[in-house]
Amino acid sequence: MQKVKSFLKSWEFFLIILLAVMCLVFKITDASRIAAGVQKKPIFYFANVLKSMRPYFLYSFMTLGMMLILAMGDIDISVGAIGTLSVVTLGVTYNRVANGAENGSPAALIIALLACLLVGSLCGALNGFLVTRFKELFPMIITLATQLFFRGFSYLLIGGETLTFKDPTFKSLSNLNQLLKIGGLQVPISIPIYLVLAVFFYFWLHRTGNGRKIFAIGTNAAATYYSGVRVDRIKFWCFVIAGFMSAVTGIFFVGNSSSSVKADIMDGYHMYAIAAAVLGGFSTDGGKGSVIGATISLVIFGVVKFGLGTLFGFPDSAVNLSVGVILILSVLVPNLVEDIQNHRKVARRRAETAKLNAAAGSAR
Amino acid sequence: MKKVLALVLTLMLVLSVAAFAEKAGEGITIGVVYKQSGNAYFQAGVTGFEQAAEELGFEFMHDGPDDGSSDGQIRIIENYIAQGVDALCISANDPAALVDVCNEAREAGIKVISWDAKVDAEGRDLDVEPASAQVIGVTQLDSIVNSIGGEGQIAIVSAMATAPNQNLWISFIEEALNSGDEKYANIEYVGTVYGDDEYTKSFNETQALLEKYPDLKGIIVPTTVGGPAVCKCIQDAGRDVKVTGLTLASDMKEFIDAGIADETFLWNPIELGYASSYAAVALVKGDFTGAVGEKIECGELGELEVTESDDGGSILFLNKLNSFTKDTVDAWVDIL
Amino acid sequence: MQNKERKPIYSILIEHREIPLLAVLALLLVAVSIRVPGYLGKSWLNVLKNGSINMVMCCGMLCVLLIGSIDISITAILAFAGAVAGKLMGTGAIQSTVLMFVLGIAIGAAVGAINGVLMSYGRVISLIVTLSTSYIVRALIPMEWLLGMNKINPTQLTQGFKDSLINHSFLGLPFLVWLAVLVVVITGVFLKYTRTGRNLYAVGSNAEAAQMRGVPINRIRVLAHTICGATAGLAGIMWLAFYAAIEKGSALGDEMFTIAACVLGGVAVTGGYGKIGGVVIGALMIAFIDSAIPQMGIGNSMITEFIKGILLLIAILLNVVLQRVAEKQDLARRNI
Repeated sequence: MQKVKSFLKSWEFFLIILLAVMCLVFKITDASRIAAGVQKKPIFYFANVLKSMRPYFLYSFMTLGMMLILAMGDIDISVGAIGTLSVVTLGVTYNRVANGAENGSPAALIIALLACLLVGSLCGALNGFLVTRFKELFPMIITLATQLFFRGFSYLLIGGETLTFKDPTFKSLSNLNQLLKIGGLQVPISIPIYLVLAVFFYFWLHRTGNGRKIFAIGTNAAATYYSGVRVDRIKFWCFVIAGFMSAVTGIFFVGNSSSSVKADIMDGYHMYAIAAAVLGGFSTDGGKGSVIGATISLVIFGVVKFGLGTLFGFPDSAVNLSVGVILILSVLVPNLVEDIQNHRKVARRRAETAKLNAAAGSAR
Repeated sequence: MKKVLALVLTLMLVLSVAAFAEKAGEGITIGVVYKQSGNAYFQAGVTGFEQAAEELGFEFMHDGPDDGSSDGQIRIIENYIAQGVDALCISANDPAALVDVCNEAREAGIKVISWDAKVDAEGRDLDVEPASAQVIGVTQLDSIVNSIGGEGQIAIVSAMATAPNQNLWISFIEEALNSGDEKYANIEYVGTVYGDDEYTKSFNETQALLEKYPDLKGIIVPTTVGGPAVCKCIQDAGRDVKVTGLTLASDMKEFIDAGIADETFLWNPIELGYASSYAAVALVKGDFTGAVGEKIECGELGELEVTESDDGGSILFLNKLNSFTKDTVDAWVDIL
Repeated sequence: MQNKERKPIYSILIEHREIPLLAVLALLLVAVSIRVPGYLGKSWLNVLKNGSINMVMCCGMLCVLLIGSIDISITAILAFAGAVAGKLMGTGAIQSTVLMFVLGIAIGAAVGAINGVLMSYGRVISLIVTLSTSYIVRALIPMEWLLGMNKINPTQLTQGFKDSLINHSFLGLPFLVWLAVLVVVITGVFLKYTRTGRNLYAVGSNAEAAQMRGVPINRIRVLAHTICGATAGLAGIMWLAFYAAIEKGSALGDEMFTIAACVLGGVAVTGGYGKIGGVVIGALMIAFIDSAIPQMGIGNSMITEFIKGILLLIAILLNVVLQRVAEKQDLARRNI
């Protein structure tokens, strides 16, 4: 009973309600548009929405990495640039190793993928090193500088050209963009992969001592340090993981963009990741948030962007507006609710003391 | 003014004819995707679609990503697929990146046309372009050579270093300069800088160019965003440097009148959108396949022939480049 | 106490965090001057002109950073204020130059105040608030009632307005630069000599203690954000007058360089410490890097970002390292 009650009060439950309300609104709009003859066939039904989640789950892996950073009370705005640099490394390494083989070479692809993940992790390591060694500086400033550095380095490697790959081996990366057929539904491949990773992250962050330490650092780094936790080491590895996740996102991005590589991709992706994590209950102050919340908020952003774009005819730029509004409200509303509750509590206590005082007064 | 009048008249003529005939595009929905929202050039392109829609009776939606990225375009295209459009007209931010999503659309029975900036041949049914890259590049070069009197240093201020159109034009300009032609014998080409299609970046890069090359005589700006920035910079610096390039008339009126640019160019994006929608409707109706050698009737633009492009796909050239000079710019200010 | 008349160098370093930065700036200047002879002689005015808009925003950013908050919506405010004012001038509603500046400041202050209220009374983290408002405000610009797909171009502005900052000068400096100087002086005086200004420091270093002392912390927070918004709005009008154009994407992403300038100048992002002098040097340094890199002729502008990133990182880290050395020396001295 207690569990149910605390679930009903939890942020995740609120997110689920939010999602349900949105789906309802979109569903009604869809039906009324068909009734009005504006649109020929239904757009907003489960299979179609699920299929269309693909672009919005691209940055889901980045969000997982960002969660760790936010839980520690830090921020990393270089994740998008790390993704770019790792993807560029992927392309360049593949070109070097495969050496223009007619059908490409699987070994070269594996080496290139490993290089990509390695570079992502190394970039994360650089961030982690700087953040732990130069505590006087806000992580935001450090990652701002490294972001410029990573992005510039990508340009240095391939300049302005688009690397395209025609051989079937490299083209197989496009499979990451395919739709799986599960029981008549078309599911973007990134969703099951994300879910597996999310379950892993869930158990790690919320069920193991190691994971809880990350939240402890976010709540009070100094206290955590004095209780014997090696704060710097954990911080360092979290940044490495965030970098690794950016590289994973990058690989999916290559699949999404027809196996082509460019030096200016994934600009602004850090904002998507931060937005999803914050709506999911994480805060830049650190110490709170949950994997489940972040997952639901990824879905919410996907559904909102899809619904507003297709049903309400919002242009792409106005969709960002809705993201802004949702973000503010998602933090403001709980704060206001808490304020009101506190006010009530205070008022009730005051009333009680006044009653007691009055009773005491009359007794005297 | 004459041109506008002529345009309006022909339009009215076509409209009156169309009013009696059954409209060809009734019931067809087209999704138009452009490079970036908030760009006046594409606003003009959309006007072309509007005109064609009035004549043909089709419906269309249009959108472009906020940040001018390929993945933003992919997102928009997927939304259009989910909405079940009949044809897509795309001005691609990157020719290669959109191939897969376009093929997905084609599998769903949607006709894919690229306009203004191509999608690679394996991902499209037809490409509609204003003029061949060589014509565009060399026209600008010849114009600046005329402006500066046939000798001196010239430079190029381009858009993003990754912009495929601009890079192609620049390569043709460089080719022409290296061809050993008499015309270009006294021209010294000092290089290309990139303004990233950002006003300040273009401004700063131009400033650096002017300081680095005190004898610079001319600048070619093959991008609509860069044009006014480069001219403003030259105006502030008070230097005698001539500018030409691809620009909107409304952006450049001030600087053409001030004599900083003698002549700038642009095809008419309205016509580009107009021709694209005619091609799209014909493709959807099935009386046109977009194969090389086929001809298509494009309303007021007359009959156009599909040719083979250098990437092996089919392409439709309008082959019309408007030039804006002191005399003609006023007529275009309200249109482009 | 016998050391009183001569302070050791490290204690000066601790008190004035901007000194190491000055050294870095001088070093860079020497390096560039070797590479590009006579650089400073011909470019100093451009550095000042291009840096002044950022300088104005830095003053606002300083106030926000002092209270331990941050504002990344400033460039969105810049574009929005510029767009609204430009649109009004374009339609003829406003003709007066002074009114334009007043309007810009008012718009900026309004958005800043919203930021401040949400941040202080709503207890939403400032990064999230300002990220959201920057999304929202920027998305308003391409709405039909504002700019739509178009942008503000020079023909829409009155000649008097366009001349106001660039073509009028005093003591050899254009009004643009004087305006920045004015804002810097006002901010400096405000922070140093007024009670409210000192309260900003108090709130930033220890909000609870400040509240105990009777400082209205929420009101101070709203004030800081309002000031920051106002400077951003002013910057929008300066931008419009300087570049004579504004569009949806104007200054996109530049807020990071405003923050970077403050951090370079020794402002603590955690709040409570920061001097206007340091910020001025930081902003100059950013402007200097922007202007110098294209002239160094190191490859093309594609790697500008790369070099900018490295320089930024080195400058910031060097600052920290020097600081540490100085503190260690200081400690060592006290132990003896």
